[in-house]
Amino acid sequence: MSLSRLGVRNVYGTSQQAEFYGNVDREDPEAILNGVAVSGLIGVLRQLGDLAESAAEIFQGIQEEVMATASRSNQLKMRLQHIEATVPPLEKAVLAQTTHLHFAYTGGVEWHPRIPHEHNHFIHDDLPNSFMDHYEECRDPPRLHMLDKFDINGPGSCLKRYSDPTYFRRASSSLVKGNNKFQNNNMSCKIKKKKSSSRSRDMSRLASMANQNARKTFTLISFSGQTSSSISASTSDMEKRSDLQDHHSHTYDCLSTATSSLKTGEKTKGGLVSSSLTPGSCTIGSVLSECETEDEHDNLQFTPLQGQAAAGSSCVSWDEKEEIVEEPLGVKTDEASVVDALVEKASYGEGTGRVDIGKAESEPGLQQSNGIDEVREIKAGTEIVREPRDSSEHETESEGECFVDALNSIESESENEQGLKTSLEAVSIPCGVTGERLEKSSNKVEESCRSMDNDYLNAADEMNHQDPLESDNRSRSPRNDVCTTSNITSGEDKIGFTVVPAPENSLSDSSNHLCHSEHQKSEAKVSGEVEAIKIWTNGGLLGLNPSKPPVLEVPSPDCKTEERTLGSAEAEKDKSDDLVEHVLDTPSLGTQNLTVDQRECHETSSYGVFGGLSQKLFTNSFRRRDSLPHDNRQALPPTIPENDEVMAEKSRFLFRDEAPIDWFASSPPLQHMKISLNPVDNTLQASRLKLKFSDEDNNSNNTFPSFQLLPEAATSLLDSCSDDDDDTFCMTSHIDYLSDYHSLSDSEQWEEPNDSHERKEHDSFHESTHVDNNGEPSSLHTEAENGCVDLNFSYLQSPVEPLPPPFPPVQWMVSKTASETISENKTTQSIQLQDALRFAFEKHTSSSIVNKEEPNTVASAPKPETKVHVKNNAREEKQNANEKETDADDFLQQIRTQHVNLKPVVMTRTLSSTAAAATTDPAINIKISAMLEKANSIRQAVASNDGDESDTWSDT
Amino acid sequence: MAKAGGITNAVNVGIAVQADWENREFISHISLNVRRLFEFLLQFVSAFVFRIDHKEQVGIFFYEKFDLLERRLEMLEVQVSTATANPSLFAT
Repeated sequence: MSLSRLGVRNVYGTSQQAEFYGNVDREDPEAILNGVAVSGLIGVLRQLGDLAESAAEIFQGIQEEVMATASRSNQLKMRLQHIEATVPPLEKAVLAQTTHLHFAYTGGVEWHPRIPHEHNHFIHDDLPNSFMDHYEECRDPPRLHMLDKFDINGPGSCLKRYSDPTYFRRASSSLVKGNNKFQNNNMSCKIKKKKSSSRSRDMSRLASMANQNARKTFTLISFSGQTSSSISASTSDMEKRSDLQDHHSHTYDCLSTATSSLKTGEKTKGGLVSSSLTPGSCTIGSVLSECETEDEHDNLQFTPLQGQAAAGSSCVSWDEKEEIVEEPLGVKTDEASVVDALVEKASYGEGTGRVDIGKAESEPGLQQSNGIDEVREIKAGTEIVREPRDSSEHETESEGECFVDALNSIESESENEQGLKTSLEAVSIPCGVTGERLEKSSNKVEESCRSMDNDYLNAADEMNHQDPLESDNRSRSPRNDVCTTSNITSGEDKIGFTVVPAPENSLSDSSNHLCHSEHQKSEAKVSGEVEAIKIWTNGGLLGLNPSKPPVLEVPSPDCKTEERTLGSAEAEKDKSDDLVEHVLDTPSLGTQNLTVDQRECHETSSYGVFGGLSQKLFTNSFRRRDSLPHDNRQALPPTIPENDEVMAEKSRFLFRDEAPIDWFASSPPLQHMKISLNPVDNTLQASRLKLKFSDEDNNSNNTFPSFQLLPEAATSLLDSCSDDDDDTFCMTSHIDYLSDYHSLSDSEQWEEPNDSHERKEHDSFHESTHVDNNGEPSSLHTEAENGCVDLNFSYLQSPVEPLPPPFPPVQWMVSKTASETISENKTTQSIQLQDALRFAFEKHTSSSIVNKEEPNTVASAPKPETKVHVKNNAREEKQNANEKETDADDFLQQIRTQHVNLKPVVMTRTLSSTAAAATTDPAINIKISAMLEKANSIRQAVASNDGDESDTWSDT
Repeated sequence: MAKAGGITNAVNVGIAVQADWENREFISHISLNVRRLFEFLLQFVSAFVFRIDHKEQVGIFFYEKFDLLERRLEMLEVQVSTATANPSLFAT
């Protein structure tokens, strides 16, 4: 890896470029240009050179990597082949075994692979090239091996002596050890000061145990050191071994490796040699391990202990290892002075130590020397261990201290817990008291509910002021405050409001108030119901509609399924009382909703608890529920808008004389329920229903004017307007039409004399005109009976439209037919009257007394029906019009000014007009005849002016 | 003649300048291509060589596999050597 990225230099950026054209004659431009070109080419060549160099580096690295990988793969291949060659005989042997049970008692192989440490990055092989370049550029060490002949340690000793990289490491480690010892002493002093006498025993025991454990581990490490120290090699090997210890001996893995190497002897040697083939063996440690194992093998052949150990089974347990470790300790006690001297020498300096070791090794009695070495190593190991042991002791002490502290803390915690427990007990005792008192108070409340006395306030006061603790709890939560206040405020009036919490209260608060100790399980249920109630109770405010529309779909599955305790029943009872109070206090507001909610809430409640009034109310509610059809109940909207309530009130006002409803004693009739629960869109239809009821039941007491409640007319108006092709007619004429029509209907049904008089006149006129046109009143009557009169009349009365208008809506026709059936009895009289009118009209026309009646005609000209009829008859009486041209101009002007009031359809009143005309006097017939005369004159005038333009007559 | 010589010199200079521009263009083309080669090499290094050189990246899988195989193989070797060194285990 290159730390700096390669930079491509500019072609002309080289410093030597000036050499090519700097010395050129300035007066020769060609030379200058040639020099520049040459320098450019040289720059290109330089770039190419750099490119080649970098490419070579790159590909060289790739090649190296590939080669390394290939070598590793080859090694793996070789090893696999070796294993394949050795496995078949073993396989045969294993398969030849009859029982494999004895393999379970074999110790197996105590071996652990040597994972190469990657921590020494700076001496690893794969250093960056920039670092490797520096290493490569370094000079070789001095040829100290030339001095080996003068050294007693043999070849290579001088080189290691003067160029030992591990020397500084050992020196630094010794310094660190000294510092650690000093710190440990200080810490131990501090710890001893803190220790108590009783705890010190435990701590000493713990420390001894820790020491024992540490001794185990570190003596084992020293055991490995022993094996390594038994090497009779040069000092460099020892140093390497120490280096190896620094690297590997701090783990039990190395220990196991050493022990296995001791026990297995040559076996491990082979294994380790094979492991040296690994790429990790390129490291120093792995290389040293090979030397170690070889030397170990050489030495272990002469050591009795190792021979003894090797004589044992390959499976060495931990206790056996401990014994093995302890035996050299016993040897140490025998030869402690010698070992100490050796250790001291070794500790002062490696050179001297090694010399001593060499001396010791050079002494006769190889076994003894080996034993001394072992002891020395053990001593060194223990010395090495001591520090960790101290540290471990310190750690154990510190741990013990911490443990003691933890005990203290545990004790303190336990004390705190006890204190908390006592406090909790102290708290719980009042809670139980409060629960009892709550129970009592709830019982009181129940009694008070039954008796409906005025002691409810006292009970509520008791509930609210039961316990100071509870009051404290309440004071902590604002909701409780709200609850108490609501209870107080509501408890002034009725019990229902003393018990049932306000809608702002939470469920727990409600349960608190209801039954603190008993209803812990049924809090959720109670709370759900309380929520359902709080929607429509509207915060306990009386005389007001709920702020939100009542939710009728509040589920109460818990009420249906689960068993209720007495407390929950009491809670239900309280709610029912609340409901009762609400019903009593708000009799006129949302009674439907209240009853519906009440019904839903009390479907599952226990009935035996409720008082008489509430029970009566429930029975009423059940009646209502039974009276309600199931479809209607399902069709109820989830939220009933307030408009429905208003409509219900309206209907109540409308029907208050019709059917006096006892809202509390009996269920309302079905029709009211329908009206009250109708959606907003059907208000017009509902109003029409109201009109019908009012008409049928009591017409005299209806205070509303007839023209204000005309839902049917509105619908018919819409239909008629939609049927009209010419909008100008219905835009301006519908008002009069409405008023006429409704006045007509009123005249029919309400029999108001003022309006009916004119209507009768109009109707008689119509009848006369129709008779005049058709000439057969019997046919007219038959048509009226069949309901097709409208079509004929509209065609006659509105000649503007070439085609007859479409049929009116069926509903309207039905109403017309109904009115016809009402007036069927009077048809015979109407026929006679029509005949009389016809004769009178003919008489008037023949006498030609038009001039006398001009003012009357003018007065009656604005009547649109007459104009229309006159227009229809214009062609027939065109001859008579020539005589009255002078007067017709004025009439024409009046007609054109009043044409806006023309009605497109007036056939609806014909039947009723006939019926009305039948009941009129003969004096009226005379007037009608006069009006017919006027109309005839007008017709003549129009015919004279317009002539053939009668078909295109319009309002413009 | 002087004029003619001057003219010829001017023409020669112009030709030389044009040739110089052509040479510069040629050099710039070569330089650009060389730069492209450099760029390619650098990308190659960063995409392949760099990752191979650093095992933590793409090559980590490869090297880890190698390490794992070697360890298992070492374990097998030890087991085989142990088994071959203790024929008494199979002597039943």
